[in-house]
Amino acid sequence: MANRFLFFSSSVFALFFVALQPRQEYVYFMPLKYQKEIEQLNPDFTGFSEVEERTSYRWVFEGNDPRNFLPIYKIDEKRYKREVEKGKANFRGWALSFYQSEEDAKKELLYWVKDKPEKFKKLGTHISKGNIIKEDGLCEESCDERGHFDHFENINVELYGRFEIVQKVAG
Amino acid sequence: MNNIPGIEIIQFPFNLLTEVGTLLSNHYPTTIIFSDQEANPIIKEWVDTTDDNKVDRFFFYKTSKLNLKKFIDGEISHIDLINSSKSQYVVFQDITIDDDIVKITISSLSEIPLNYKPSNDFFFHSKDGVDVEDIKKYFDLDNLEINDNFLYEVRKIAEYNKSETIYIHLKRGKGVGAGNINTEVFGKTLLNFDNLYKNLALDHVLGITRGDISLDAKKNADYLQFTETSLYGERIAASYGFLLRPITTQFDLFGATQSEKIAEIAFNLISKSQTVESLKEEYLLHSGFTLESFKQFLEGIQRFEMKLDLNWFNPINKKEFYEDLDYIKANRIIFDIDNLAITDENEFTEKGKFRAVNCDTRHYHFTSLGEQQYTGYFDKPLKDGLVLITFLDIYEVKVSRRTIKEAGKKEARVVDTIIAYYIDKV
Repeated sequence: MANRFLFFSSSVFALFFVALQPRQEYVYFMPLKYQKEIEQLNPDFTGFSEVEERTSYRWVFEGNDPRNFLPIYKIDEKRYKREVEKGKANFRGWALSFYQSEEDAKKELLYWVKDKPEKFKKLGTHISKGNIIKEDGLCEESCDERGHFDHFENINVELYGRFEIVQKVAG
Repeated sequence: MNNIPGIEIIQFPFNLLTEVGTLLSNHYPTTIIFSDQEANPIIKEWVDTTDDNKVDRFFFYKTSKLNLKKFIDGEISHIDLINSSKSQYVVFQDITIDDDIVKITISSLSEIPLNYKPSNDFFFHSKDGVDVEDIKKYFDLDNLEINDNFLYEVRKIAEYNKSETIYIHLKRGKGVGAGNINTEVFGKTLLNFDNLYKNLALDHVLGITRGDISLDAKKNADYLQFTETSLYGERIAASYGFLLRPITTQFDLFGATQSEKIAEIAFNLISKSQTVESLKEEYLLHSGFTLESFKQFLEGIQRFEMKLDLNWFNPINKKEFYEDLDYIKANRIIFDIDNLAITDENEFTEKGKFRAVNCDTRHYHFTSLGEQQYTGYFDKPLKDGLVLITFLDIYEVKVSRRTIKEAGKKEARVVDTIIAYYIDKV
């Protein structure tokens, strides 16, 4: 009798508190870097997740340039404020840009230098390579046609030091 | 940063009413669109920064809505947009990160340093744009009509010179820029077109069963009036356009001129190559030489990733032809040609002399009185009589030509079999 009661109450519990619960959106508990700013821009993390390990490539400057692993809104805070005022700010401005291959990263940098030969002074002069792992934050699962993807760092993650320069492209 | 040749001024000459939006790019805004009080687009281009990134350099210029639309639509390159500035000057501004103006310099378009200009072949792609819709909406660009004013100018030139005119406008491609073009690209495109035109003209005059003709030979000088064109105007358009005309101008008192007929054949070839069904019919209307030269012309367009317009005008009867090609169409036509499977047979006669005959293999080499060269084999039943052929007599030969184009093979095989021959007794 007691077993039957236990089984019945477990079933009720399972039914009401698990199976019949409304589906929740992806809930990410680890705070991201710039979490507060990101939340103000109606972020949509569809297509983002933690990755086990992903080899990634990024435009950097030589040496310990502080811009190397900062998102564009952190590098240019005036731009962020301007875009917020105009209602044009995008949560992806708080992400870091990466490329899936060295070739893609180089091709894209050279493409922009074709339009503005001095643009490497703003974008980067070298390609660096490193691995993004699960603990690093939320990574865009797929790339665009240019091999680019965004990555939102977890708070306290420091990618600097884990990426090494593989090629000089400009400058 | 570069030294800017120009005059330093105190007051910024443009009246920037509104910042409309950023055109390029998301990584860092480098082309930003403003509007003045007359709703003219004023464009701000980032070009440089100091080593410590504390001072940025921009230049400003005024353009027209039409040119801005052409740039956004990919019709003109970025350098074309800059060079189409309404005034012939730009205004450089060096600004600190705290928005303090360090210096304003007014400079002519021609003095913009090379490292501050976009590459000749940089065109706008919509996926690179940032506030494109806002910009289009603000200037109502979607309701602007683009008229090719250059075409109007070219018609006027043709009328003034009283000359049938072929206008080739290289709108886009590797090395195609604002009023200039890479020498190799220009040279090869021109030569490929010239070669195509020559072969079409020879087909028209001699028929598609003609043999190979060397136009360099003095004896073939009579054909030059049909095959030759001359370049008589260039740089008509902001990108690169040039004018050709037939070297002989015939006024059409009695119907279309030969050059008009040749032009019509050329434009039909381009037009009908664009579907497989019409290509099959068109293929049989041209000699192998013409088709080979057409493929070469297309391969050039493909190689240099070109987009071009071809126009032809007759200023007397006002007749016009037009076609456009780009490297995507060229690629498709080449693919279709390579994958055609056609067999065609026809017969024709020629008079001329044998230059070589192999009585065992039945192979021959024959030169017509018109200096066209033919090679092939005699039909089997004729083998026994070959020993009697002389190289001094003039023969009339009847040739059965089989053209076999197999799918997957780039070229057709042409087999000319002599099925009968007679000594020509005048």
